Amino acid sequence: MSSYAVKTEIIQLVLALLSLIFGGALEEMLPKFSGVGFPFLLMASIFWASKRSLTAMIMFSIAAGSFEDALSNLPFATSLAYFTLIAAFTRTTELKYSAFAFSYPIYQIWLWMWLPGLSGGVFTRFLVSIPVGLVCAWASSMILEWLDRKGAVGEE
Amino acid sequence: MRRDIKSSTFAIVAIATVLVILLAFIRSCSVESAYSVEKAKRTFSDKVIHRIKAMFSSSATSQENLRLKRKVALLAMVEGDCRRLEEENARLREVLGYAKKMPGRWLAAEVLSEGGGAAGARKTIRAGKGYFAGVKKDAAVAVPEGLVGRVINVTAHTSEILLVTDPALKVSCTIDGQAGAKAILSGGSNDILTMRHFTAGADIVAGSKVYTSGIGGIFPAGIPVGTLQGNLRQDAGELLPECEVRPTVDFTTLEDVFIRCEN
Repeated sequence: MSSYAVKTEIIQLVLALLSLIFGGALEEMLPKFSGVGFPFLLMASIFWASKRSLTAMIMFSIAAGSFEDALSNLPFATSLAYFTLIAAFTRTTELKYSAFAFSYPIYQIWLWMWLPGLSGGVFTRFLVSIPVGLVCAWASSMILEWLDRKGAVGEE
Repeated sequence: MRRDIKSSTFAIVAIATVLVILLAFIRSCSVESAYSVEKAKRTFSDKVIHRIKAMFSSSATSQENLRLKRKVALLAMVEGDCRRLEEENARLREVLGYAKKMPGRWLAAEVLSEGGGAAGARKTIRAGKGYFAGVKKDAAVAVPEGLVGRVINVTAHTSEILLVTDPALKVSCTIDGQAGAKAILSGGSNDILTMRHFTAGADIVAGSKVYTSGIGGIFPAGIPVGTLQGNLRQDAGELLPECEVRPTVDFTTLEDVFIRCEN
C-alpha cells in the first residue's frame, strides 16, 4: 500500500469519527419539529455510500446507525438496519445525492412500522421530514464535501 | 462434515456475541461522545452569553441576587424544620407499623438537549448527570413546579428522561382533597395529559390539582403533575371515561431538573 493510500485511509477514519461525533451532537442540540430532527447521521451515511469504498460504506452505515439508535433510544438495530439498507440502495442504483430527498421521509415510515406510539404522528412526521431532510442534506453535503477537499481524500 | 457444521455454528454464535457486546458498548460511547459537545455548548451559553446579558442588566441582577440570597437563607431554615419533621414522621410511622416512605435525595442536573436524536421517537430530554453522580434507571425527575418524567437510560455523564407527556409513561395519580380517588395518567397529543382508570366514586371537578400517588414505587407521593381541564367524559366507543389534564411544568423552558437518587 502506498503512503498516499495509507494517508487517505487515516484521513477517512478521522473524518468518519468527526462526522459521527459532531453529526450526533448536532442532531441532539438542534430543534425538532413535530419530533423530527435534522438527520445528519443519515445524510452522512448516504454521502459515504456515494463516495467511498464498499467496506468503508458498510462500516460507516453500521456505526452511524448504532449512533442514531443510541441517541434516539431506539430498539436494537432499528436505524442500523435502515441506514445500511439505504446506503446499499444508494450505491447499487447510483442515485448519489438524489437519495437525500426520499431517504428521510421513508425513514419516518420505517420508524412507524417498528415503534408503536411514535411521537408526532406518522403523517405529520412524513410531511415535516421533507423540508427538514432537504435543508439537512444541503448543509451536510456542503460540509462533507468541504471536509473531503480539505483532507484531500483520494489524493494520489 | 458434522465437525465442520459444529465449528461453523460455534463461530457464528461467537461472532454474534462479540457483535452484541460491541454494539452495547458503542451505544454508551456514542451518547458520551455527543455529551462532550453538548456540555461545551451549555458551558459556553452559561459563561459567555449569560454574562453578556448580565452586563446589560446589572442593577436588576444585583437586586435579584439580594432577593435570592434572602430566599436561600429562609429556605435553609425551612430545610432544618423539614429534616426534624421528617425524622419525627419516620419515627411515628415505625411506631404505627406503616410502610417506610421512599428514601432519597434530589440531585440537580442541567438540561443538555431535547434528546432523542434525529428520530425523536419519544418525548425525551437529556440531562448532564449520569451513573457517576449516582443516577439510576427509573429514577423520578421533577422541578419545583411539578413532575417532569422518569430516567430511561443512563450513561456515565448523562441520563435520558422520558417526559410525562409521552404516551409511553404512565403515572399513578391522586386528586387534591380526595385521598381515595386515584387514576392512571399518561401523555397524549399536544402536551396535554390524559387521566383514565378512575377509582369508583371519584369526584372530578375542573381545576382540581393532580398529584402523584406514590403507588408503584417509582414516583414519590405528592409531586404536582397538573390541573384537571374539564369534567369526566366518555366518548362513543370508549370503554372507560377519561379526563384531560394540563401539566404544571412548561417543558419548553426547562434548564435544570432534579433527579431522585437513593441516599
